[in-house]
Amino acid sequence: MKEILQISNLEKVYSNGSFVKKAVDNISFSVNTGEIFGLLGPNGAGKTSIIKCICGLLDYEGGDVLVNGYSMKSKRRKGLKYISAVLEGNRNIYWRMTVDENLDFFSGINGMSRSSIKDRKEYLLQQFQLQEQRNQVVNKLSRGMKQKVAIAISLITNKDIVLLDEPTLGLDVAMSHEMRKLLRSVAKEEGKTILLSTHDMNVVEETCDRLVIINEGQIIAKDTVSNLKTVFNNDIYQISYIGVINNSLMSGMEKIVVKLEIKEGEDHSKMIIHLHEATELFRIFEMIKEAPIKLISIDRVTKNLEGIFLDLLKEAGTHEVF
Amino acid sequence: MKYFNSFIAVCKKEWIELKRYWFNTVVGLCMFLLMFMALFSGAKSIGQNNFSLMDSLEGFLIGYALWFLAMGAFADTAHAIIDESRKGTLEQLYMTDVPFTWLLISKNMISTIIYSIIFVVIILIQTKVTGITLNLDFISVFITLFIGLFSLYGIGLILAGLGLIFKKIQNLLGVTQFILVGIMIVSPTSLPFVRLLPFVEGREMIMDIMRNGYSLWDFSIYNWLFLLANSIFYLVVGIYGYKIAEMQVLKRGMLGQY
Repeated sequence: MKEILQISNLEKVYSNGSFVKKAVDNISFSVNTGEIFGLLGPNGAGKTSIIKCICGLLDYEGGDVLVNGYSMKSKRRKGLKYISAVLEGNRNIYWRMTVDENLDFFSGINGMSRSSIKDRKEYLLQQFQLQEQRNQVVNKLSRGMKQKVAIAISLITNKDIVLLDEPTLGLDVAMSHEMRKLLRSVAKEEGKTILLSTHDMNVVEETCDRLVIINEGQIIAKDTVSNLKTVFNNDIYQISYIGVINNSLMSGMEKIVVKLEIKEGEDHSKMIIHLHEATELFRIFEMIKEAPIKLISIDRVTKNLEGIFLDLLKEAGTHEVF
Repeated sequence: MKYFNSFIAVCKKEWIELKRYWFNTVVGLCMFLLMFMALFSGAKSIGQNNFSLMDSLEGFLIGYALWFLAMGAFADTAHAIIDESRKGTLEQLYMTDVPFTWLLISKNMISTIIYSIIFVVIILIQTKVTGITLNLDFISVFITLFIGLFSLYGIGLILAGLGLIFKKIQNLLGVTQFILVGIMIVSPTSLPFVRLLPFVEGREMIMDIMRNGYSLWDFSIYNWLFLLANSIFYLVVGIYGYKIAEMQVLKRGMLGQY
């Protein structure tokens, strides 16, 4: 599959007098045509800076961004032929103009005539269920509706890549779910490449094919969503028991497991063990059999992306997540 | 065709906004005319026994209307860019298939047409109310205005660039309005270098058309070349100044911040 977007060794430094901050630190990844790619990270991780560098709205100090082979540093205008974006929520709309007027204006300033976008406009209004609101001033629409309008505007010019900065920020649960469904259908039906930045794990988990997790301007994980979940869910077990774990059992288990957590409860306690491989569970069984505790259950723990994300941030040393 | 379509899109947007904010436009116009009436009555009563002042009332009438026009022209560019930045739409305008400068020039051309229409309305009302007769050759006035106003758009671009960097420049815009009054008053006959200032040549030519009955053909090629050169010079300086500000803004990522 063709890599339509290539980001290599990207560096962005903000400086103001003595204040210097490296917002993007040697970031590299590529996005394939037709893929939904996620940039996941806590607030201030550098997601928006990366998106703006890709759009050519922010100069970068190191590395390069290639859009369909065009450098956003030296061939910005050519690269922009392939990119549309919804930045910072839904601020790409004129709130005092109607939905229809907005769609006409944004297609017009991209050099398209009203007649050439007629069918596409109708298709998008239908796809985004905006037919009834088409003649309403955007200001009077709900936040979710405004977000739909913003995304419809980004699609009206039919460019190959759509960049979405926090597309579900501030939406209620139902609208956020609808938005995720919409993004999936846009990528599937129209073959668009979507790069979205978010700190909402559910969005990434439900929509993205691949993702990078960013923290303090650096990539801390890069993989497919399913791989990341598989890798991080390897051999984690929760053992429920009654009784007290004595020192010899504890020291014996500590020699086998990667990580051991004990959560004591009133009627029973739980221990969560991370193993190198599943076969080590047999050795744990042998030890428990000899110990003065009563086993209640053993369950395999499956982590969602949120758990993985938090673990990764913990490993990277970030305490403040949101 | 791409450039034409984007011009039409900008044109439609300006029309939509003009329709939506008509009340503000009308109130602005009324206030302007009321102020003119007050100033004109004052000037007339002082000039009853003063032949030269009575003679310059025509100049006062045209100068006042041109001041309104010029004020709108330079502030329009600065306000437009700062307003787009505040709304967050400026970044979108930077991501279009046509250069942002073209969108800005399109907007300026449309603004010139709108301001020219307002200018005609003002002049017609003023002449009716004051009884002063002027040569109303609006085609000649429009062509001169169209070329001359681009010098003020250049100044507007510099102010817009400063607005992008410093965000709040209302005080500077206020001061510039007073500087503009000076530009509208000072005569190049007494101070020849004044002709080098933006719009002064245009103002002089419009005065000649409306007060002395000149038409386009009565001006020398030198006049036209000077007017054109003046406008191009300030527009280029304006674009250059704006580009310098833009470079800073793109470096700092402040295009969408206000």
